[in-house]
Amino acid sequence: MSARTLNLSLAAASLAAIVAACFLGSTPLPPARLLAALFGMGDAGDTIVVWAIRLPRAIAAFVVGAALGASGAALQGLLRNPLAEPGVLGVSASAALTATVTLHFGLAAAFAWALPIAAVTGALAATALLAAAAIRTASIVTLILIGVALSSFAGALMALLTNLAPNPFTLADMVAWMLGSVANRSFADIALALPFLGGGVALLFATRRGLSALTLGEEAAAGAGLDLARQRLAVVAGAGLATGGAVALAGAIGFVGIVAPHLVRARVGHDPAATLLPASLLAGLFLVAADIGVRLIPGDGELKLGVVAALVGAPLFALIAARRRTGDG
Amino acid sequence: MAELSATGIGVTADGQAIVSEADLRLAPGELVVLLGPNGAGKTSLLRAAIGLARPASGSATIGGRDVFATPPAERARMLAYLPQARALAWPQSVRDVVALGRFAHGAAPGRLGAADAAAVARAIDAADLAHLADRSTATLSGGEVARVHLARALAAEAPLIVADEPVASLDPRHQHRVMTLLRGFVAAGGGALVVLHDLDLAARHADRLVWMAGGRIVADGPPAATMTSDRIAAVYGVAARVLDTGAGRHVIVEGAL
Repeated sequence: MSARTLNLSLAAASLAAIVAACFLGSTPLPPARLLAALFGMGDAGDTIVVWAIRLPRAIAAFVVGAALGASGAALQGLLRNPLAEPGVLGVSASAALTATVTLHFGLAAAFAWALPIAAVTGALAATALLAAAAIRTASIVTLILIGVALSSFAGALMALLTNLAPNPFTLADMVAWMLGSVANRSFADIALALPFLGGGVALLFATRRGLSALTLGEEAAAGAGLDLARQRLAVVAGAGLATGGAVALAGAIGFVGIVAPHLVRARVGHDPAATLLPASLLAGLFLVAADIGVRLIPGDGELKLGVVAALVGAPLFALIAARRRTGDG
Repeated sequence: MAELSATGIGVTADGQAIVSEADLRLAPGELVVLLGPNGAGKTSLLRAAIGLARPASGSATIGGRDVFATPPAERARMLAYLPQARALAWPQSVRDVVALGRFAHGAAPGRLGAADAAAVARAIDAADLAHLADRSTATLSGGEVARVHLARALAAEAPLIVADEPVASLDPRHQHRVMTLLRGFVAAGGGALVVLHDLDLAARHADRLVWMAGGRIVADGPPAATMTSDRIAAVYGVAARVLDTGAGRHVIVEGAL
């Protein structure tokens, strides 16, 4: 399968999954009514159900996945290791922490942009810290340990914040952000996160040729004409913006950025640049499908999307780590 | 004319002088071998001279322009650099890795213009990799990987190549193949600066030898003038005999002093 066919089929599958997600919910909608509502020709009730509830939820899952997939693929290219990913490196947790701070102090309720800006700031701080560490060490293990520290620290502070939650609604909100969910997202929520998501992903795509060159190692890539400092800055900023935007919209969802690039890499000849688009599409598809799963699994409360992603992603992460031949890097 | 010229290069690390007052020149049409024991400062000098690490003192120009004022891609079109590290992060095909040599020309694997594709094909042929072009680099032997890296540097079709220990850990046959490739590059009008540890290989292939010890250039000249037992003893601390057979100079290292 060529890269082009792969991208086209992933895009088609994503579209199909988003439409399929629109069938799910408390009001059964047969295909004819769903299609009519999608194209704005159905009755008013159906149109509201589809356009205000189901479609934004599915699209939120897709864009969050796409941003995390692109961030994962780009960070893996920059750090030259398939284990790099915003969740594993503690970027998602840092963003979730700053997001929950705005929820805790009611800033998010007072000022709509507070939460996305806080999430993006948290993510950028984490990626910048990791990039600074990456200049000093070639070891991915060190970076993952820094990620573990970031995640644990952010988790502890978030646990503290939930203990001190002023009321049950704030508590529920904060838990949702810690575990990751796209339930009840509106197009307005998507619009708030989109500048960061879109800007970050665009930046990552703009640097993809440099990611190819980094296959050779930093020294040789610089010798081949890559502006290393600019490349690092662009990937750090792009991954920070995209991950921060994703967390702002859906909370912390881990492992997506590791699963998707891993599955497509061999099909595009292992070129980090060529991995970016299919990894992004597949991660979007994966989260739309996982969110369908979230709603199909029976139970009192809805399972959180981040939980499903980790249930699938964490074992695969362990598998990739165990299969690597070298102990370090 | 693309010429690399570094003057008065000084490099320090943690307050220690690694390189002092070093001059280095490379012009098309010559194969220069940089010699010196481990820790003599060869790699530090090279990195400073080609603009990868800013030196504490001194200046370097390429094509008459300050290397640090030259955009990386423009510099890379004049000079291809082959560092010691030969790690490849991903098991890409040989062809795709060689294609990375066209990075400075705006190309990337899978996105090669006609001129880029032709340059990649020429480099693959020159390095005798045609039969391996579609193989994953993860399946190659050390000697084959070394040729892939060399082909990558050749694919840039830059007038100058700087190679840091391109024959390290290769068997004698592959060492000679790499040196023959570089000789061919020089014969076709290129200029190559190569770090070697094999004195015999250096004596056989170099047009000019640059000797480095303790961070300083201690001699610079053709093998006939600079490859002497005394110099080898002073620079490397080994007893060696230099034989002139008429067909070339040979070095026999007899032991540490």
